[in-house]
Amino acid sequence: MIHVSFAAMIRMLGEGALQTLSLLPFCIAFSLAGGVLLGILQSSKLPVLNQLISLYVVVMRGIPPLIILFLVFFSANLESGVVSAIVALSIYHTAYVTEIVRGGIASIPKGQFEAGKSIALRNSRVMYHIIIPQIWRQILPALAGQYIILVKDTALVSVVGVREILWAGRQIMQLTYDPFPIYLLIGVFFYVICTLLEQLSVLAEKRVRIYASVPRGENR
Amino acid sequence: MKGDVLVEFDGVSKRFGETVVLENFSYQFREGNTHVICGRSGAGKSTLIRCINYIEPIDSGSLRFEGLEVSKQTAHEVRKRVAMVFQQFNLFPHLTILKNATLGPIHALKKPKRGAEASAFELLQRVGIGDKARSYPAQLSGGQQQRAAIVRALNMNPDLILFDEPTSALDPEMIGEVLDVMKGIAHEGRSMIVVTHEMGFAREAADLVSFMEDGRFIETKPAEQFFNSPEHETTQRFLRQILSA
Amino acid sequence: MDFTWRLVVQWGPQFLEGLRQTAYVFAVSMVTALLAGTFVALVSSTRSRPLRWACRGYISVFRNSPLLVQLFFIFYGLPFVGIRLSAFYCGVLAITLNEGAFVAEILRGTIQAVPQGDWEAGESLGLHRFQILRYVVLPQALRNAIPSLAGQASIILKDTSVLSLIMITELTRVSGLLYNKTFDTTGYVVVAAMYVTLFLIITQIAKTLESRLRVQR
Repeated sequence: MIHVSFAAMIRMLGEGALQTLSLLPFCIAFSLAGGVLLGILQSSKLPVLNQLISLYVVVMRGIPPLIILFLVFFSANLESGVVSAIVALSIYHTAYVTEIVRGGIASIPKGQFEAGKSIALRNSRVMYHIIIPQIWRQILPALAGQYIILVKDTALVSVVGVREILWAGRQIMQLTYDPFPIYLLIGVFFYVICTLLEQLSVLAEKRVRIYASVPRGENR
Repeated sequence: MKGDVLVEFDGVSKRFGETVVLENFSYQFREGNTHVICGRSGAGKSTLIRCINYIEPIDSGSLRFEGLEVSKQTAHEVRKRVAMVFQQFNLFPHLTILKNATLGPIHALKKPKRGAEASAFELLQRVGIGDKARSYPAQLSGGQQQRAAIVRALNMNPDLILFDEPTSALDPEMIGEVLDVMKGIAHEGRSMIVVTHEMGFAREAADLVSFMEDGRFIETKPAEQFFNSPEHETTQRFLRQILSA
Repeated sequence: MDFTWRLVVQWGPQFLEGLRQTAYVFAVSMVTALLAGTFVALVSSTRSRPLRWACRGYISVFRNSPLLVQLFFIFYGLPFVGIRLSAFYCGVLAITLNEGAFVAEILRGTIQAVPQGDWEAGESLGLHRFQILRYVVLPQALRNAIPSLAGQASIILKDTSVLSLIMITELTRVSGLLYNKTFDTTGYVVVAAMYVTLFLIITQIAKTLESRLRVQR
């Protein structure tokens, strides 16, 4: 058993933490872009596309993220575990974002679509100018919840060789054999990030409630 | 040109699931007319006008607007020339009144922003809400919102405006201000098709009035004749009901 | 991505064993998480402020950190303090604590959603706070929570795959063993299909339960 100083532990875990954090912007960006696109496509009611996207969503809701990670890593034969992890987590979470966006679009009254069409706007423009601006605030809490799950899922990526914080923890444990400080620190790391996101979500929800109290077609 | 055929229904049928709303409907709406359609709910009035700008697609038959067959492919073109005012206003809540009015002209008609805004301002003044241009729909009363919706429609400079029960969702004291605006539009000579229960408006501003039931025009007459000497029994009964209310 | 039928047949018995393990862990964890969550939800509606804070703390900690970290903490940590638990029980304990927090949060929400009038009616009948909970509020809260709980059930199913990382031979580990031996991803494909099937079964059961037990007011 080798003693590792607390400072050294922090430094090693810190490097791993940075790797973990570096994955997040990519996964969030890809899943957001993908989810918005697929959510819009699914709302356009084209039968075949609709079915395909629904199938994709059901499959991702049923399969554990670990399996997706392994499948992507071993099938795509990507050199880099980091890239595989980003691709896998993005594919996985896009499905959930798709559902969130689709739900948001469905909550807009039909009249908004009709009014948009009546001023000769094409469907894409109706989405861009009228629908999306109305839903993006309202789906923020659900998106935040989804990305909290994403943050927690990044704890799994050491299985495809990413040298993130859990990998660093294992390295230290092989030296010290003492799990407590390591996993406590790792736990705190994730807890802080997730709680931050949770607070942002609560804030967003408060502002949505103010914005959403707009009566439609009612008299004052 | 006034008097030309504007909208032509020829054997048009439309059903919602099991219910047949329009069956073999044929009629020609002419340019320059203010045509009021009245009738009981479920008669097919709203459906009829919603087919004109392809908000509802027809199932069979032929529907032409200014000679153009209304279809999925032509809907975009038709909607540039036909505007609609909805019962629930359907203003875009996240945009100012001004933006509501200029969205269509800028993005669909490709008009320059300044021109679109200038005409919007003028129209807003004319209907009496010029000071509300930078306000949001939630800050306006129901009557003001509907007037804003009318401006949104007018700013498209359409060849035809469709009104789908424009005052049915308003408190009684605000109905008048909206009807006044509509009367003004009628007097300008714009082509209008108005689905409404407001018989006072029909009397004053309509060129033609149709009583619709079961997906057919039972009776279509110039306004004065319609009210003073309706032919059909059903029309008479309807008029008695609605005028005594 | 490979799919080799020969391997599917060859490893059939292992897949079935993995399925059995997965199902077993799922069933046990489902029950214990429900019990734990209900318990915490009940405790969090007591008058005692420290108890309520303890519940909020537990819920917060276990919802906002990854299951894997909690699992490793238990798996590597318990032997350190002299407790020897099998990998299976470590796994079940970790899932129970983790998912129990989610269940508790769901039930806290549905308990709060029961109209104040029901509480008052109970009080006027002379029932204690706890009796009202047990006979009036909780039954409704549980039934109303079924859709959310069903969602949690499918999450618990996915959680079982994390246990492969502490050498429990459930479905994910079996597909990993297959890959290690053959460098063929057939195992993962087969197992993915099995997970989706299980997910669909759970969802269907939940729908049936919900329609049968919906609380009419």
